[in-house]
Amino acid sequence: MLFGRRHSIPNKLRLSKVTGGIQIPSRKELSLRSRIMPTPLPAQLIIPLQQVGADSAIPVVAVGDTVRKYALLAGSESDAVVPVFAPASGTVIALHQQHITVAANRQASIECLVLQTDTGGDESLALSGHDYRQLSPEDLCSLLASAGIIDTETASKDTQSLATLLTEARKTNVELLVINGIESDPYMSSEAAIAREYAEAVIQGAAILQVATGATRCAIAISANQQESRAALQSALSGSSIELIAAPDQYPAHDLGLVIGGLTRSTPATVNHGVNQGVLGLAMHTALAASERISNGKPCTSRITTITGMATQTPKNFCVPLGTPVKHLLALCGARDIAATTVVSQSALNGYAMQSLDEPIAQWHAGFIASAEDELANPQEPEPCIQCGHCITVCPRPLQPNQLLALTIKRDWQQLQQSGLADCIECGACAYVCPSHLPLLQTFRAGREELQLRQHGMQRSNYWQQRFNAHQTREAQEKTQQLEAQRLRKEQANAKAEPGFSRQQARSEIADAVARVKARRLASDKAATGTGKSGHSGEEQ
Amino acid sequence: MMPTLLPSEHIALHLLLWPSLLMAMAWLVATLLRSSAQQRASANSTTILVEQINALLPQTQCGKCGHPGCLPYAKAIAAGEPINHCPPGGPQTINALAQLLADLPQPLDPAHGSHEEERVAVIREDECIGCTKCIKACPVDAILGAGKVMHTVIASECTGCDLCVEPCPVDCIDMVVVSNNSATWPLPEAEPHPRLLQEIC
Ligand code: SF4
Ligand code: SF4
Ligand code: SF4
Repeated sequence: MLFGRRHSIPNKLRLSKVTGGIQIPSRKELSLRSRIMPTPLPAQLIIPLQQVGADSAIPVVAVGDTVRKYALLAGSESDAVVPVFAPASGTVIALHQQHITVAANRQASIECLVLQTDTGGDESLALSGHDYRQLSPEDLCSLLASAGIIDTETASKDTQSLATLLTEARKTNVELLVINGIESDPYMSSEAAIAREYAEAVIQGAAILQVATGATRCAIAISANQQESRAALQSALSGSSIELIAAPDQYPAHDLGLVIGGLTRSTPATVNHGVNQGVLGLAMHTALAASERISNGKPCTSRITTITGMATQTPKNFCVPLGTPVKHLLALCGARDIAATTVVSQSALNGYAMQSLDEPIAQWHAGFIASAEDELANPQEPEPCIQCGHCITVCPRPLQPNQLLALTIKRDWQQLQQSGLADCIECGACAYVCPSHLPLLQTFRAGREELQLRQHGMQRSNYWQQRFNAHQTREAQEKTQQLEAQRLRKEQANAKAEPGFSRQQARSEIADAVARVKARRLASDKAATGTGKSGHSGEEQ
Repeated sequence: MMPTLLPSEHIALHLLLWPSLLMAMAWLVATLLRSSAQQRASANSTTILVEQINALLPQTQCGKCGHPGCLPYAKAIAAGEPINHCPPGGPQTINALAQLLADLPQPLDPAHGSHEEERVAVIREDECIGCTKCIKACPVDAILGAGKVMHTVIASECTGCDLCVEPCPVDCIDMVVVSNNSATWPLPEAEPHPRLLQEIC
């Protein structure tokens, strides 16, 4: 950092095929046939207040309050907590804990706010935008940080608040900002749809984020096979310094770690959501939300989500107010008999089947597949591993899934750490090709969670140990200080008397003085008996 | 009387005696050296062992094992004390220790307490009289307060050792279970497909 450029980012940015990976026939056409649709408001919106991290935003409204669209519903002083805004005007009818599936594909009981939407018009706050070129990076950052934007890695492996990412980017002198619009899942098309229809806004958002993060270069990455979206971006980009990168048609090309590895032509060990090797990757959704925030003043209250699958009649992308229940959208797509269909969230390869269709749509939901029978592979009884090695061939990271599986089943955590389970990106390519139908991905997910918990436990007990040691050192110090203080007090008591002056001496001196007085009195008495007693007694009075 | 030796016998005697004498001395020196090295190595390996054991203990610092903290118990285990005296660690710690020490896993010794869910201390703040007794009891300085003012526990620092509960003269400290409400993906059973394991290994 001291000497300027630390990282070697090539002048010409390009993405070539990653080793491993698989080819899957695309089914994006299903949902790309129609344009992005605005969603008719559902009767109720369910808005989770804890979106990123462990803390909930604190509601600023109470049950019974009426709110207008874009009004602040919950906030916090902390940067790590994402504020929540009203996606529509209406009445707050409940504030309660509800079980929902959160970003990391986990079920959790989370504080939610339920908003009854107005049946009449949608009354919104009057908002005004700015020209980003006239704002300083600091102003842009604070505007963006207070907009409630969450950055979600494609296929929703990880979510982060944009505020934290911006702070990190500014601290680490990021060189390259990549707007990741690659979608290698065969079904999901929200990024492609955004690029096709909102190319201008995406590019403006990218420019805003570039200024806000202070990145020297900025690039937008998109799948090579999305011709229309590429063309739209290309024409909107004319005259701009932002570069366009085409990603190979391969699963899982979307993974941020692989993108950064490809661009810097290195193998990043483990990629965190944030700045890695001088590159910050943000989702295309984030760029769109950033442009809405700065140019129109709108906080983030909606996202583009794909509803697709053979069980729907008119699959398409929706512009969804956050908090809309999934089943509301499925009904809009003419899904038949939704109670009986399996709805898969996020991805056909590494998503998960929804337990309940009442769950609200949040910023991390890329899309939902309502699958007809036999459309997606049904879980099959696993058979023994035949050591065919297919999983090793397709794994985009240098891992050996078959061995990892055996180790996870044995719960050999130490070995697992060494074999790199932490580097698995949970793409599911291994499980897709495994002829024995072994639940590789599912096992790795569980194993990675357990590994993280263990690491967390380790860190915590190390911390406690430190605290205990510090406590003991402090106690020992206090003890010596006490002893020292006692000693000092004694010394001071001694020192009060002048040096060389002891009690003994003092006593003898007093005795001497008394003796002297007595002697003098005796002498004067004698003299008085000679000259007359009155003189002495007069003297005494 | 000593038999007189022929010159040839003399030479043979020398040839036999000296090498064996030298070898005996060399052996003696070597053994001495080796034993001192072994002593040093064993002292070294004990500290390493203590560290390894300590790393497996939960570091709650509760003293339920009968030692003033986890490190002293780690030392005691290294010196041969049973491995089942730590209630906060519970079966998980015992199993890990058994694995490390090639010992048999055994149930927790009930004399030292029972394994419970994770807890943190919470002071009922309006009842606190500010006596500072709990502050003195806390092994990790997780309690904040001063004489005659309200005290509180910093939840993120609290190990849940419950050492502060007993000294409180007005019983205003509760141990509250830490709620972990997020459901994680289930790990597959230890051996879901016995055949599979055989094939892999
Ligand atoms: S081991 Fe992980 S990274 Fe490799 S293919 Fe399987 S899921 Fe993907
Ligand atoms: S693909 Fe399946 S069967 Fe083949 S080696 Fe991997 S785990 Fe075993
Ligand atoms: S019982 Fe366990 S946690 Fe408590 S001090 Fe002993 S070793 Fe540490």
